[in-house]
Amino acid sequence: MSTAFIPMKSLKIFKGKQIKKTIAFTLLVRMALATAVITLISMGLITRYAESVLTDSIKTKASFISYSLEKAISPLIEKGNIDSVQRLIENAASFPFIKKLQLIDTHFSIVASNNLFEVNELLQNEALQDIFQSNTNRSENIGDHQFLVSTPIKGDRYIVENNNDINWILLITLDLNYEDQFFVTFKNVITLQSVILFSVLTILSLIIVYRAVIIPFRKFIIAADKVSVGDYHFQVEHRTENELGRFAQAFNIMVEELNKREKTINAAFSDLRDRSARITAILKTTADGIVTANTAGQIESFNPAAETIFGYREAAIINHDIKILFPPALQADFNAYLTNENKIFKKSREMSGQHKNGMVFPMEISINETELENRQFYTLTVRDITERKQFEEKHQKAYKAGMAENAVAVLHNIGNAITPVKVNLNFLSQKDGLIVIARYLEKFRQLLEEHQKDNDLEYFFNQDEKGKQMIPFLNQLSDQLKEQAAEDQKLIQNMEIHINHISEIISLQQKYADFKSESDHFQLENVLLDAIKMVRNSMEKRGILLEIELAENLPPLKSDKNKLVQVLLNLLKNAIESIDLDLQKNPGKKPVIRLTASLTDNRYVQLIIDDNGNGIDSDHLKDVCNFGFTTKNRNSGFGLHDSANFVLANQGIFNITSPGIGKGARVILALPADLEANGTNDVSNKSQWMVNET
Amino acid sequence: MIFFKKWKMKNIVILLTLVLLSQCNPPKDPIRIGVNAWPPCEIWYVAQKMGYFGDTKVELVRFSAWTDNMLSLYTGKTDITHATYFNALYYSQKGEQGQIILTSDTILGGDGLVVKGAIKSGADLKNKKIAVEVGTDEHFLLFKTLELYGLSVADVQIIPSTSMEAMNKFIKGEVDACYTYEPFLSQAATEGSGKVLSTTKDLPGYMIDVLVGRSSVMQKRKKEYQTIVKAWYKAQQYIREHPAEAMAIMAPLEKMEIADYKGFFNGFTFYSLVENKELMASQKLKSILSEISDFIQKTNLNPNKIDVNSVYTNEIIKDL
Repeated sequence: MSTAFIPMKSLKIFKGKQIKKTIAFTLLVRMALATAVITLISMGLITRYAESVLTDSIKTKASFISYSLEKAISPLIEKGNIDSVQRLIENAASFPFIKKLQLIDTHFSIVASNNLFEVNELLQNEALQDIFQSNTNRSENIGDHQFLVSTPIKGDRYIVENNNDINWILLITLDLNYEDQFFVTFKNVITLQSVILFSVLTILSLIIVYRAVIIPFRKFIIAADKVSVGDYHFQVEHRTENELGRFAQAFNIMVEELNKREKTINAAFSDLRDRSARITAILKTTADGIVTANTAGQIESFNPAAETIFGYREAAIINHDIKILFPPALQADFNAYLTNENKIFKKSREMSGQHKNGMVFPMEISINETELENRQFYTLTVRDITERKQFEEKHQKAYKAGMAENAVAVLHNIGNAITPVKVNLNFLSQKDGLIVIARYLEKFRQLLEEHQKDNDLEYFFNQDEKGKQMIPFLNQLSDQLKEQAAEDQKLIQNMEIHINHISEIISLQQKYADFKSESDHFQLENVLLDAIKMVRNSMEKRGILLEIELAENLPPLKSDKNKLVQVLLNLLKNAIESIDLDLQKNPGKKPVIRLTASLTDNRYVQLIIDDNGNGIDSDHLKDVCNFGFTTKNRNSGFGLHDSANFVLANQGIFNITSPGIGKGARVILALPADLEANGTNDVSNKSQWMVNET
Repeated sequence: MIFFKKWKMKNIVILLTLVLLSQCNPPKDPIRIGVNAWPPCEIWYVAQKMGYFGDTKVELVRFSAWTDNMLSLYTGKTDITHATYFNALYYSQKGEQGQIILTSDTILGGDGLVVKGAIKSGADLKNKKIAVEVGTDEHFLLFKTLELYGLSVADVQIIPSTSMEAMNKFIKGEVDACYTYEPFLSQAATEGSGKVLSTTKDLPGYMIDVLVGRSSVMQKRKKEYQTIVKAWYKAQQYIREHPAEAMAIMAPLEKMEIADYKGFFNGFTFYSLVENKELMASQKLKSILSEISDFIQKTNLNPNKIDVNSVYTNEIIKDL
């Protein structure tokens, strides 16, 4: 498995819903909330504390101002220097934190004020009366951000109404806005600091969380996204041994397992697809029509071959009743099959089918009942055997013709062998020597019987002229009979030889006429010599010189010996016929057939049959092995085709060459040697058989 | 937690942020303008009444004495004050830094030297007691006036007083002359049986009123200063267009009859914004300031050399 790690920085989420609320965002919001809450609480506490401190501070400040001003103003008033008092008040009140500064006399008249325009105005205030009477300082928050300090100023005279020496009151109104501003500024600073502090903490926390949790999590998200789209070729990088590391390990193992499973599934799927493709291809290309039908007999599939066989297009015949494919006479049978428990069509059998055009044709059909995914259906395998039937018929005819040819050849040989016997028998039958002798002997017997009756035998043999010649005549007759007997004996012996030959041919023919096809171990030489024997007479009659060159210790062959003999007979017969044809054109030519057997490629036993007969036209060479091809009127054209088929069926080589008409031909026949049964050999000893002219 | 679930977290954060923000806007201090009983100062009251300050909070702090007014600025208690070239220079190193931001107005003859009848000419002033508010324009103007008569400050006896005291002393006969400004000038002449020997008409270009801003505040609140300067001109426009209403606002502040005040007010020449920009760019301003600066140094009012370039700035008016 090729493994890729999720890079740290490639955090693009590429599948699934975009993350709307990231952990970082949630964390940020919560920390911001915490910051705000803490800041508010802090501000509340700090505000309360600061307020109390500030109030004390203001009181102290007011006390100091009133004390200082009282000390400064008293002598000026006593000296009547009101202008200086006014300036003093103006200057003191020019401090921003002093809102008003007023000097009030016992008539409640404003003697001096920072607001020049109110000087000499009256100020009625119960509090002032009270201060004049009680001679006490007052300080109070009078609202609207103002703090009032009232300070009695002693004069140098006793005032009866007040029963004391308080002649003036200094009213100092402090502007608390200044404190408020300070306060707000202070709070702002605190707030800002809190925000900055918590922001920094938040950012630091986020960085930590981001690096420690979010980045790994995002990698997991990417990884999970990749897994979701079927990409298993990566692993989540993990360096730590914490929970995330453990999680990454488990995740990687999961991905590996998924990858393995996917591969297995893919392999199975690929196999299934291949199979399916193969099956489809087979279904499309097979010569057999394949039709599937449901249990109700409705056609569900119809392959191209079936289309060709029955003439229906698949689209048109789907859902039709399958009985449409059979002639009406058979439809009942087929229906019975579908309904009957006795499934008679399980084995392939021949029956008639009906083409769309109504034509009935022979077909080979097998029906299988199949169950797939709890559903039963029938598969019909159909083969149109019209051609095969025609071929078989033709083949049978050709075969019979071939057999007849062979029989003719054999009979011809037998005939050849019988001819000399017939000649001898004629010769014998035409001999009349014994009859003459028999006639002589009859005449002699009659003479003897006459002379016996006459009792003059003695006389006859001794006296009579004829009688006296009898003894020498018998001697001569005896010699002639001996000679005749010897001559007949000779003829009979000759006849016996030919009859034996006939017997041998018949015997060989019987030997190889057995059509049982069975494989056997044998030597080529034996089979070849048997075949030669069967055609020897034909060759002898034509004065053909047969040259045989066989390598020694050729390995045996394992094949159908009987069939090979027929092949060899056929080839030899062809060679002889070719020579015949040539001799008609070139009467003086010396005909030769040469047989050479050897081992080639260390695995083939090869036989080359050369003849110097008529040869083959180059135009015909390519067709000579075709079924039914012949240039001879009386031949079937089956021989070479059959021979070639036999050799090729035995994984052998069969080849016919010819330089042209009048130049002879060569047949090369090679069959695989049965090397396990024998060793290999070199070509060595040559033997040559001469067949003399008859 | 139920509360948090009901309320979306986002809403809570927004709410809290708003609460925090609402507390983050401190009320700003008003810009405090120091004023005296002086017609140009009353223009601020017109601006204030007409609302020309807009959102800019302005507080007018009124003083009886110029010195108190100006010291308030240089002690950081006020942010803008009315001054003169002399004061701007004189106080420039006395505390907070102030800079001339506008040449506001001038009145020829507003300041002058009042002498007793016995003094016939300037030359008669030699060895005479002259009351003057030392460390003010009057002091410098006296110096310039004496120069006109070929005298120096050393040739006379300076009696330091405030301008009002100078008048009083002159009326009481405690001094032979006093250098003061209107209305003390005329009052002194009338009540002290004296005569005005010389006024600023004889010294054009020296007695110019200016607005001085506190530099540290200006840097932070430039826009507000600009608003104030704009208000200054808007108020002047209002006064030109609605003199009756304007005078009715201003005259009582000076405790004068409207007619009298109007005459007084009309004696002032106000400088436009364009003139200010030209003046700020010219050498003339620098030249006069340098002359006054030399006087201040020479008279030991301030022994240190004053950098005149630092005493004024066009920062406020250049964009107006």
